[in-house]
Amino acid sequence: MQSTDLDRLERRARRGYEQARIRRALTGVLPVALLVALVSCLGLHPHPHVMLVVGASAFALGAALLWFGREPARAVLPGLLAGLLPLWLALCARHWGHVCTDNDCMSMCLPVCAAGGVLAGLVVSWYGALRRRTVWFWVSTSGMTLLTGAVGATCAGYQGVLAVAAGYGLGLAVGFIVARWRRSGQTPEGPH
Amino acid sequence: MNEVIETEPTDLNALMARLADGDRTAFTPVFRTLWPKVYRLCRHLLQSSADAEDAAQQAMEKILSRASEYDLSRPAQPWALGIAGWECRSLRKRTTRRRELSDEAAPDPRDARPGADDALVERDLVAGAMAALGTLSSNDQETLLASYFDRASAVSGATLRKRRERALDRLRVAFRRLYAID
Repeated sequence: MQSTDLDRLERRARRGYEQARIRRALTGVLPVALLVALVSCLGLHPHPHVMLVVGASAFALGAALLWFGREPARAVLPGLLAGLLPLWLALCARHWGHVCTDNDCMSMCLPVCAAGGVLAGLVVSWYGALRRRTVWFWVSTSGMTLLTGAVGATCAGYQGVLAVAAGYGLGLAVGFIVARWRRSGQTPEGPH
Repeated sequence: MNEVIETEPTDLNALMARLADGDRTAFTPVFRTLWPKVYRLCRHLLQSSADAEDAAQQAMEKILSRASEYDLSRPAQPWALGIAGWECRSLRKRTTRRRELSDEAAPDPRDARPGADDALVERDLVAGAMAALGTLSSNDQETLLASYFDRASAVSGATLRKRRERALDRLRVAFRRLYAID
């Protein structure tokens, strides 16, 4: 005869399940921490404290999404990869991105941040359209992309972050329009 | 006490897939579906209600804490029962070790029963077979477990017999590889 209190066992098992998911999420989002540590150690960022705060936010968001699971969890990797574009472009622009003429020397930080955002938006919209994702995917992947991109873009101050966000919005919109246009072009015509 | 749910393995696969994906609403159905199967297996392997309950409880906690690692391409039931079989083996090893340490000289009254040694050997063999089962392909696992639980299979007659024979051959090979005995 079974004497096990199944309710208590279920509660214990559920706690174990959640703890395992948290451990797994923290492991899964470790690349973000490594990335931030790398940027910090190489001294690529002029404001390491700001970068660390933004990096910690990206880490926390990624961990929360992976812990939650389903569509938001599936958004972490594409969001992170897309966010790497503005991140590296912004850091490269800070070191080499100057356009110098005879009279003037212009920093390319902001245009490059915006261009990185556009590229990230295009990548995310292409991937999302390919996989036919839900609204949760779009929201989660956008958050992840923008925070990862902001790790690099903060080297140009808050304007850099705004440039990435504006570029991302533009890239996403263009990607949506192109995906919609292509889908409508593929739709077979009905009987006349 | 909670009610338990009897479901088809395909339902369990779907529920397990949802749970692995993070759908918490699948937790209770998975728990209630797996509990009777896990308990039955532990009871069969350990031959003692108390030990079976301990092992089944630990197995359930392990299965569900590893639910996120569940490979969607494999059937859930053999995967879960493999963990339970392993838990039974660990529990018996722990019990044996504890008994050896604490009461080495005192004879176990149960051992005085005729055939007690045979029963222990049989239990060890069954636990070993469960561990070897975990190394087989999902199709082989399904075939053998369907035979073990007398469950209706998708195929029948000669096909089932041949499939079962081949799966058993592979199980024997895996068993020999793991334990170096026939």
